[in-house]
Amino acid sequence: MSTASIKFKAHRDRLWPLMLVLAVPWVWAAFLIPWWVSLGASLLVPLVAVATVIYVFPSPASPRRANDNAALTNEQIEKMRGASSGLHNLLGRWSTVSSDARVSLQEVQQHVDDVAAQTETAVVEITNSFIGITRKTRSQMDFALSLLQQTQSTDQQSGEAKEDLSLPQYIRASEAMLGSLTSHLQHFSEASLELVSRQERIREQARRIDDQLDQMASMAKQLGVLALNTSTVGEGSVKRDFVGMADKVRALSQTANDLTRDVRQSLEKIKDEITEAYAAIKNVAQEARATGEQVAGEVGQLSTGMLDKNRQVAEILDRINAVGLEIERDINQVIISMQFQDITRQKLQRLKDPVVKDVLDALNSLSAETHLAHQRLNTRTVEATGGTGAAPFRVAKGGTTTTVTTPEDKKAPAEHKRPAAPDDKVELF
Amino acid sequence: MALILAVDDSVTMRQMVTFTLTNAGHQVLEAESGDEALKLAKSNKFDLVITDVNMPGMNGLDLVRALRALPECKFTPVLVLTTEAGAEMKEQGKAAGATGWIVKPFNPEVLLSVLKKVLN
Repeated sequence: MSTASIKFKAHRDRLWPLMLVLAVPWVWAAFLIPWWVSLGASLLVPLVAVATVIYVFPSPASPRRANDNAALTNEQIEKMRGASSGLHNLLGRWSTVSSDARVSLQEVQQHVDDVAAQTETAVVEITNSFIGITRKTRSQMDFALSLLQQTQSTDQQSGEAKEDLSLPQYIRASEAMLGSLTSHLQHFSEASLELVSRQERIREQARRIDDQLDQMASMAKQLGVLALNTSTVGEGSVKRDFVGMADKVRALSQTANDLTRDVRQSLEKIKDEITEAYAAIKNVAQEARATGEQVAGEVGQLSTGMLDKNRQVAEILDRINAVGLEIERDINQVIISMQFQDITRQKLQRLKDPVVKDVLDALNSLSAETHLAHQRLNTRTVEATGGTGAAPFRVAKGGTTTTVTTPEDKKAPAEHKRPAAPDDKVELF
Repeated sequence: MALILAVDDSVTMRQMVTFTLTNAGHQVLEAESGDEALKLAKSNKFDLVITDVNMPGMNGLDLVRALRALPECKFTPVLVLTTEAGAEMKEQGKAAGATGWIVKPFNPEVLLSVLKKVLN
């Protein structure tokens, strides 16, 4: 049965009212137009009504078709046709969307691979740079330390203040100071030897004075003998003997004068020697005291400077150590942070492998199934199965049938477990 | 100074482990797979092995079992360094013969501390 005849049969009861409506304008116009025009128009009204029924009116809902399941009632078929209303378009859109989604997922998979590869490349480069920077930083610290040591051992320009001297310079200054002290002590020793020599000369002068005093004692003795002889001289030869004694006394007196002069000269020399010795001792003592005070003052300054310098060195070393510890902590933090790339990569891999693969497989199956259903609907070969249970999609692939499950049907992978608490991070068996 | 084998398919992780251990004065050889690690283990006497679990091909636990089967590595300490933190996986590692289990990301200080304990 053709569609036109079905529509005609379905709407034939509406044909007469339709013809009446279509004829009304011509009846009204029959008084104004020639009779043969009204006749022609009246004859065309049934044709227009029939054409309207066939081409304008919708097809009637048929309760049963030739290929409908005979076991189903008209009511079931009506419900199923109502439920499947629009399924044709829906399946078409579903097929298109699933195909697009499959392509998108493949792109996502490719992007995940690209991101993982690019991230790894970037992190490797960052790591290499970081390792290089760390080594250079360590070298810088070594250089700084060696520079510090070098600074301590390098001569600085002369003329600088003592508090700016380096430790070796302090040591050398101390050595110079000790050398100066030794020189002064040597000078003091030479002065002492000179004093000994002067004492020897004084002793010689004293011996000479002793001899002179002996001579004077001898002269006194001779004068006593002479006086005794004078008291025993006779009258006749008195004058002659007296003249002789007078000569002797004169001679003795002269000798006594000479001795007295010699003794005075010796005493003068002794006095001079003692004065010079005293002056020498005084000079040596003053020099020694001045040297001692100078050395003590300079050694004190040097010691204070060395203590300050040592304190500065200790502070610098403390700072260097503190910076080193901070750098070490930063390095550890960077190392921890760097590992998140690997963790992210593994998580992406886990996401990509099971989940994306399952989704992709499901979409493939869905797409194929939808396409098949679409084709069947188009050719009207779909058999209504009745019932309400939703069977899983089954799609023929190369002669075999594969049951498709959704990702949610599978167990959650072990990788999706919660992150470990800090206390659980290390365990020795 | 100890000779240590670091096994991980991730270049970054191998670099981090190597950097940490070499800075501490140890000597480190790297392997990116279980097979390569086994080859190195046969030709070297390692004081310690650090391995990841999830690796393409032979995984970390299989590597531990294979190392335990080697006479030269029967008593070599093996630390597992992985993102896996589940008790079940740890039990599997323990059963395979692992000496310890460290969850990524590792703290270098902690790694060196564990290393010291294990080597002593």
